Amino acid sequence: MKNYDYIIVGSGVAGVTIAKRLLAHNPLTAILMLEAGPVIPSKDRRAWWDYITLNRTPYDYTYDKKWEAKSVGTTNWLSEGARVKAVGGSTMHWGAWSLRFKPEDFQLHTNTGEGADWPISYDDLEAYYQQAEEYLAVCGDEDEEWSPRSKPYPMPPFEWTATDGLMIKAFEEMGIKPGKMPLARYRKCFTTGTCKYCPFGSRFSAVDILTELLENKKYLNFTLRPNTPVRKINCESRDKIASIECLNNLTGEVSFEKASHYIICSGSYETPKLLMNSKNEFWKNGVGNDEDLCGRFIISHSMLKVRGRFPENKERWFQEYDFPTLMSRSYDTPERQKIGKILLFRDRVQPNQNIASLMIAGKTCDEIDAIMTGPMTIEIQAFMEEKGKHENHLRIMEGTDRFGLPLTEISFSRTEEENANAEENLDILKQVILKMGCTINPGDARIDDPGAHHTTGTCRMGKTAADGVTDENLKVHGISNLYLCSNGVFPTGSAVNPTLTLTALSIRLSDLLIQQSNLSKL
Amino acid sequence: MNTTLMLTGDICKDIIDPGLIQSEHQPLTAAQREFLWKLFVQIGNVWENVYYESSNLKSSWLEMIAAKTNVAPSYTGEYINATYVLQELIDLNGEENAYRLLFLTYKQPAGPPTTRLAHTKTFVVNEFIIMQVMASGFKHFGGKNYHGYVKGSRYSKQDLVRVYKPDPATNTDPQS
Repeated sequence: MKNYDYIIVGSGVAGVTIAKRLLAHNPLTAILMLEAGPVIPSKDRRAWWDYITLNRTPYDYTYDKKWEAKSVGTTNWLSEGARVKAVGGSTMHWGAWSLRFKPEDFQLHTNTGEGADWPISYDDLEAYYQQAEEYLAVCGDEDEEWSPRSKPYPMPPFEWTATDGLMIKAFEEMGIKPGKMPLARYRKCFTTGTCKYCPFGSRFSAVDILTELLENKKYLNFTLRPNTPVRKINCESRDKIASIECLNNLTGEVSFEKASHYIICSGSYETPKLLMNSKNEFWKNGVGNDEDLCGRFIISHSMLKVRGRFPENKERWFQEYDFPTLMSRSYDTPERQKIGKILLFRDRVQPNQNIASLMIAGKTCDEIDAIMTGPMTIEIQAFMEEKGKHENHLRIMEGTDRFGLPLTEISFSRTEEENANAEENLDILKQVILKMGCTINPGDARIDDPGAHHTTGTCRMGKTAADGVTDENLKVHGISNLYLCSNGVFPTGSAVNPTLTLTALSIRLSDLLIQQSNLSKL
Repeated sequence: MNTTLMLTGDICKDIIDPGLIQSEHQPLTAAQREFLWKLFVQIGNVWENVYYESSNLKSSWLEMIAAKTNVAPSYTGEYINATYVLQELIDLNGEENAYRLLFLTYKQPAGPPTTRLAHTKTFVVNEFIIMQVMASGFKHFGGKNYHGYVKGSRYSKQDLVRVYKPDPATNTDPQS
């Protein structure tokens, strides 16, 4: 049996970033990367044309089905459409919104008495944020002052659209500072508006980085095994992992793989599930789970939406980008932490008319012209911060999904106070829409169920084993060679998307592993 | 002939399986491709939504046809089916009228397509319309960019989309 230097479970942004940096440091590093999902080609022309003409992506089928991830709490938790289970993980479909957390996000419990604190501070992560922005090619506004930064963004921002202008005026009248959404897009972006499946690879996708690593002849000892779910972590003692057990879905072969270090990067669902599933004589409740923290404190973002209606659309505004360009963090401040901070942004899709659908329905040119200049909708949305609660949890269900992974059960509930806080935040969105001169029809202001897109907290880091599953360096408490790197290690979710922060943590962890590697050679 | 009633014959009415017509490894001939190109051109003629003749879009269209016929699941069977359906519609309704009736009048029955005519509408006409609007046709209705349109480098001096200009006077022309 080959003994690898590192086994990385999961091929999303975290695993790929760590592998890339370890290989850049020492091209002969022996790494085995295991991925439960299949390889789905990127930049494939047929797949792109099918996306255009049929509105389906080649990875759609990998999304959780209802029976694979059940919601059993009093608040419905949506898993469908949230996780891509394939090589590259959810970077196959992510929107690439790349916002930093703010300093107060690392001190939620200290500031509010709720949720948790991070064992590291914003200052500890700032330099890694900078590296992550360069790595992902984040296009942002150098004049923004939302989070402290030591360097400007590596790329200039995408400008506000004319449709944004309608909302910017309302923002300014309400004292809300408009901002430009930081987005990860390479210079080769040709703005096709098909970011969910970019024909040119202009938006960071871990699968493209993996392709580079696999084609690099210097990296002789890097191996990717798709279609290979990891089923169990085995220990040789309480403080040391001996091997992992994995299944080749295509051959049915079960194998045990060994490495000096094990890094679990399989997201907020699979990472705690793998730990919980790994019960043995040393860890009766699952590896690293003596304190019953795995799967606990599950949170995502509440999604707030208010749609406004104008009687006409003389300028024929419709969607031109596939990403939002207007946002604001004016309510993402320490003062709002208690109630739940929000990230405001204009919905990228509205106003819109599907011209082709109108033609397909047999509308004439004149009829379509009338529709294009007729009633128009515009929408403001917000991510609202949730706070982790012990009773909200993710668990393993009996059986496996199509990829050989254990089925999932999620119990999530909101308190009356949390619902009231969400309504209070929703009122801010309503005020913006009304300030624009729009009408709000019944049902146009709503709080959506939380979804799995931004799941965090399920194997959070903490100073001690009683506080978290990992320490501040993402090493599982009490185990010398097991690390976790996924959104699950976040003790708080903030009001913004997690991927930039996860990338920064991945870079930080890879630096730590490289330091350890250098020390071991002395 | 100018009627709102579309005449259909045995080919159009022929009942077939609703799934994609099986045609792996079957080539599309040059003649069949050119016949389909005429259909694509007629979209621009009927809706008058291309500023220049459709020939500017031919390379993109050919690339889509190649992608849809050379890679499984192949659309070749659908495209060949469409040539027979269209020829019958042209024979019965006249060339100009056939396209207008097919695009504007024909009401496809709800549910999966089970006739050769419905297959043509679903897998060929509708997808050609989507491609035509994406490649250029959207501009007629306003806007600079659209889902699928390859707008060009974001570092071009030309605006990629209708951008926000703080002065409202410069913010009203959809084509500015």
